[in-house]
Order: sequence, then structure tokens, then C-alpha cells
Amino acid sequence: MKNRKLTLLRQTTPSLTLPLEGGGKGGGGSASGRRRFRAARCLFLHEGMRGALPFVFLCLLPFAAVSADLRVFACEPEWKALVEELGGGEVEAFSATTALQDPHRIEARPSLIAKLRRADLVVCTGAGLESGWLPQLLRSSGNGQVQPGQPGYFEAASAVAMIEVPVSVDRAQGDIHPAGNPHLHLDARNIARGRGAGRPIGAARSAPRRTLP
Amino acid sequence: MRYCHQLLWLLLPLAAQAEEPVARPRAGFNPDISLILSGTAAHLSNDPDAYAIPGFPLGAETSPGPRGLSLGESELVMSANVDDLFYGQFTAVLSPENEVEVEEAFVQTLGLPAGLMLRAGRFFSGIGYLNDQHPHAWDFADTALSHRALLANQYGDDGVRLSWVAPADLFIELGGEWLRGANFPAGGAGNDGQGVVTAFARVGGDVGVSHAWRAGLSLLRAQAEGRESGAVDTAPDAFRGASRVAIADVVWKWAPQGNAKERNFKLQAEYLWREEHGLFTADVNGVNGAPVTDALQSTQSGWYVQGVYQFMPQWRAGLRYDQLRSHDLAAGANAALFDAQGHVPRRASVMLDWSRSEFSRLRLQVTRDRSAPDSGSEVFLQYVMNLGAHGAHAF
Repeated sequence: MKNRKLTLLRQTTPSLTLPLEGGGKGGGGSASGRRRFRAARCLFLHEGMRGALPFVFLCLLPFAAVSADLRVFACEPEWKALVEELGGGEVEAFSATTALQDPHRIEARPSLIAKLRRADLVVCTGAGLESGWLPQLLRSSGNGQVQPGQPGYFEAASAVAMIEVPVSVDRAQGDIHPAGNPHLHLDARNIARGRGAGRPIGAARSAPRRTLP
Repeated sequence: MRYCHQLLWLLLPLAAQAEEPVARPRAGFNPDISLILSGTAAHLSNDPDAYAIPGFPLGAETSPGPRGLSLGESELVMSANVDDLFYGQFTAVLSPENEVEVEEAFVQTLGLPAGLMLRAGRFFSGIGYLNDQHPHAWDFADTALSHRALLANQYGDDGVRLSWVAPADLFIELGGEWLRGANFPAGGAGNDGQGVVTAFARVGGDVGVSHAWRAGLSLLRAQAEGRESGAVDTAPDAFRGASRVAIADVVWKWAPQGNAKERNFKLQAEYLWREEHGLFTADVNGVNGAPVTDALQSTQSGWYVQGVYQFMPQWRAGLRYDQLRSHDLAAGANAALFDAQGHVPRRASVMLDWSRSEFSRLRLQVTRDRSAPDSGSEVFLQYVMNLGAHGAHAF
């Protein structure tokens, strides 16, 4: 069952295979919050690190709700697609952004606060991609289940080795991401890897965005 | 420390086959710290030291600011989650006169059940839309005339706020505050330091993917004890009594496909109504003769409407109109102080600003000021810049 879902995942949403081979696997175990601890434990259940992210979701899903539809607040449509793939009909997923929007620059709109208020699980990229709006939404939502540190809050960046972590941080270089490249869901190499040799168009279209700071 | 964590991993049943957990760079454990720098070059045709709005005794620091070149307020902001249940924020203002003021310092809950949030400390009241925005977030160089006259720019105080977000698809927020009452439109921390109560309700949502809106109703009831107005620094007047404020606000934002980076438009409007009754004492310290005390009953209102259009990346243009009105008035011996002289105070402002990034802004604003019958013009050239990590702004 798990294998089938993973296979399905690779076929349908290949961009979700994350740059887990991006180097720097060592040095873990420094700041281990509860969430991270749990996420890491989930990773160990899998024989390898590649494709581990779906397992993190599988481990997280039962934490938030048991019976009724699990309401998931995803920050980007890629995460919504992944959550729906994993959760099937038992998940009611909402994406805070569309593919036509720049996830760096989103207004903390009232409608997003309302969605977050009722969410059981937040699935976002993290690493500063949503720092211009997500913290504001979380603080305004009154939803204690999905605050950072709670089981209902998940950042994809917490489960992958970040690449392109800047050595120095200076805004003269532009609005850079101190935690590393957060555009995990747009990694063209991973799209290519997930799809095998097929469909290079998707990779080509994503490639320029890959070079964003 | 690292060995402790490795021990924890070993305790897991399946840890024997585990690799090391993936490395995860931390943005840092420190609070977000940011410093906001601002400065203004102002051309004011009317003397700002003699600024007054006939019929509206003004609170402290409500003039258009000094002529010529001047440093604005520098804001130092620190904020972070305290732990998994609390968030804290601190804002100090360093004035160009080398004074430090704690503008905001509050903690807020993150983990209360049922959509409840509790905030305690010093903060700007959540009434209306513009009131709790810091000056660096304003779209114009100054606040609207309604807020300048009726709230002495913006009302902040020490106290607690309880708010609740409804579990619905439509954004519904209800809130109430219980505040000390030390600042305009209260004053003197009346009623044993519990001089102000407020209540507010807000609704909001999206219309399609390109439009978002929010509307609100707010009420404030203040007990003023010796609230100073007029020539605050030299010969203040004092008010003792009750002040009630009601605010209706609406804001509507448009961005094509919800992508505000390229183009966007914001339209906002607020209506403020204020009713006061009590005792008004002119020249309470007797600087220019004996103080005159008489009963005061006044009803006044103000409103503004403004639109700001980002017509291309980094560039915005804005237009604002604001106006005040006196309704009923009975001031007895102090009637002259409240005489609007048949004048409707109003202004029209146009602004153009350029933001190289989210952290810098240069603004040019031209205002036709008819606050008083003797109309004047104001030109502001201003910079507002932010260095460091600054938290996201609300809608």
C-alpha cells in the first residue's frame, strides 16, 4: 500500500520528490524541537532518506484528527496536491496560494485567517519562503493546534537538507533566504528525477525559478 | 549536548538502522530585531507651531511636524515566540528630541482553545483599521484628520485584549479591550486605572481570487481625568468626563490573480464619531489668567477615504481626502474654544512612493490643508527604511 502510494506520488506529482541528496546530511541533532523529533522518528521508519517526505506526512496525518475529514492548510498548491494524494478522500486540503502567485509576497488576508482557524494541519515549505505572511496568519488565527512546535505544523524544509545556505547574509544582495534555498517544490532536477527521462518541459519551465535567490 | 540527542535517537526502537537526521539550518533562535529609520523634509506654508483646528481641541503631538529637514521617529522592534504558548513584541520609539518611549510591549497567547486569543501589556487599540498601524506602515506621511483630531493620531494604552475568531469560512473576529485610560481620548488613568473599555467586530473575505475585503465596527468608552489638549506644552486645557467613540471601517484590496507584487490597489475608508460630556477647564494652570471651567457636551465626527495604487513594481501613487465635522455643541463659557467658525476642516493629499525593496521607501506627498479657514499647502519628502528582520504586517 505504501509503495503503491509512493509510486503513484512519483507519477502524478513528481516535483514533490525533494532535494534530499543536497549534501550536508551530517550535523543533525542540534536543535531538536518536539516536532522535529517526531519527524525524524518517522524518517527512520523508512529504509532510506530518499522519498522520505511522504512518510513524514503519513506520520503526521494521524496526529491532527481521527474521524472527520482532516482539514489541511497548505501554503503552496504542490503541498495541497501531495496531501490529497496521501490522504485521499479523508482530507480536505486548501492551498493558500495559486500557481500564479508569488508565495514570497502574499497578503495576510482575512480569508486565510478564517481557513487557518479551522485547519487541523498546516503544511508549508518553511525556510523563510512564507515569512512575509504565514507568521502573521498563525498569530491571528487563534488556532493552537497549528502553531510552530505543535504536531499540526509541518514545514517541508524541516525534513530535507537545505542547499545554497548563504555564508553571509546582506540585503544588498537582494532579499536572500538565510536558511537556504526554500524553493524545494520547484527543484527541476527532482522533477526530472521523479519523471525519469520523460517530460523535460516541466523541468525547463521550472528551471529559471530555481535560480531565484 | 549533541551526545544527549544521539542517545535519544538510540532509544528509539528502530534507531539501529537509522541514518543521522537530516541537517536543518536554523534561522537562529534570536528574536526578530528590526530598526526603522525615517526622516522628512517638509515645506509647510502655515506655521506648524500655531497649528490648530477650530472647534477641535487637539491632543499632544498632533501638529504636522517641523518645517525643513528633520529626523523622524526611529522605531526599534523586537518580536518572537516566547515558547509554544506565548508570543511577545516590543517597540521602542526614539524621538528626534532624544527621548525614548515604549510604544508597544505586549505578550499574546498562541494556544488558547476555541479560537480565543489574549493579549496583555501596552499596545495600540484594535479599534478601526488605521489605529493599530505603526507610522512606518502608513501609506501617507501623516495620519488622517479624523484620527489626528479625535484620537490624537492613534490610541494606545496599557491593558488586556481578548479576541475570538469564529470557526467559519467567512472571517469573523470579535474582540474587547480593558485599558488603563492614560492616553487621549482618555487621560489621567481614570476609574482606578481602568479608564477605557473597547469592543470591536470585524468580518472579511475574498471575492474571487483577485479581491479581498475587511469591514469592522468598533466602540470605545473612555473616562478622562484631566485630559490635556490645546497648547499642551505651555498652557493646556483639561477635560474631565466621558468620551465615547464609534468607528466604522472598510478596506478593499485588489491584485490581479492575487499577485500583489506587480500591481495592486487598496481602497480604505473610516468614519469616526465621538461624543463627550463632562467638565472642560480652559488654561487649567492659569498661565494666561484664571482658569475657566464649564460643562461641555460635544458631538463630532470625521472620516477619510484613500486609495493607493501600485501601478508597476516598486511604484505606488495615492490619493486621500479627509474631513471633520462638529455636530451638537454646548460648551458654556468655553464656547469660543469649540467654535468651528462655520468652517469644515478638510484636506486633500496626493502621494507618490518608490520602494526599492520591501524594506525601503521614499515618498513625496503634497497636501492641500484646509484644517483651518486659513488654508495652506504642505509638501513632504520622506524616507522610511527598515533594517533587520521585521515581522509581517497585518492585512
